[in-house]
Amino acid sequence: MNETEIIQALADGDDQALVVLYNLYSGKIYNTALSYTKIAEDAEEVTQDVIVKIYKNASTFKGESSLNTWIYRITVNTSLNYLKKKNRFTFFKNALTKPKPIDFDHPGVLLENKERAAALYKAIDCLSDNQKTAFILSFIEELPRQEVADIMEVSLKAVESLLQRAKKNMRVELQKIYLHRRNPRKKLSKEWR
Amino acid sequence: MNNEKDKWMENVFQSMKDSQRAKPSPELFTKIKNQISTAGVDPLLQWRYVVAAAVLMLLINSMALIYYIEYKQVNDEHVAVGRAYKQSLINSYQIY
Repeated sequence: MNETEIIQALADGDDQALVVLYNLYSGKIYNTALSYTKIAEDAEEVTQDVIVKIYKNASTFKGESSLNTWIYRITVNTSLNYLKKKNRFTFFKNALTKPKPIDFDHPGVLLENKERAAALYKAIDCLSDNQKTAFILSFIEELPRQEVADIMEVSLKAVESLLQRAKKNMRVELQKIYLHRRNPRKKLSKEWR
Repeated sequence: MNNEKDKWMENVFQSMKDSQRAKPSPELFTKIKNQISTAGVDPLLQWRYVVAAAVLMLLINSMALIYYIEYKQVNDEHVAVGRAYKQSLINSYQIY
């Protein structure tokens, strides 16, 4: 089944197409969502939401971008909205305490990279939505820059600029983590506690 | 020290390279299928019915109010005419 056939079959409500879609894209959707949410259950909820959205809106897919790009775009938007909703709820739940950054232990990371990957995810937390998306798609999903630009509906130059700013901001955060690593007695800034 | 720090940071940026993909739980597909099969009713359609019912209720209430005001005006006029007629009758016959 090619992209057009999958979409056409989904629009017709074909259950077999749903299985194909799930097998082809659930991994990409889940891993991208996991990079944003950093909690397996939340990532599954986002994945579920994305696949249902694709199934329901298959008839509106115009084919202006590739199916892969369209699915990534839905995943990014759903993940960001999910986080916003969750943060809003946390804010109402406890207006006085800022949500703590999660020590994320990605299940697929090599053992020798665990500590560094945890630091990476902590640093990603300090980024704006656009910088975060550019970074996750480029360095974690390892997509070509042009595809990242297509997903984000910006120019290639804009993606490069977002990545540069993201790395600059992350270096500031990583420096704090690095100093704390060398001197664990020294307290980290408030947001990391 | 700076070299060591820069190297560490570079390693952090590359730490997700060659990592394996995480996998969702095997039950996820069943959950999705269930959600799709139970989500037959379009929520937008439900909202349309609610809005239509609200507009209908508003129309009925407005009509009732208009009829009530009109009825009251006519009634007041009748009462006034009736009073004037009574007064003129009393005056003509000079009962009191």
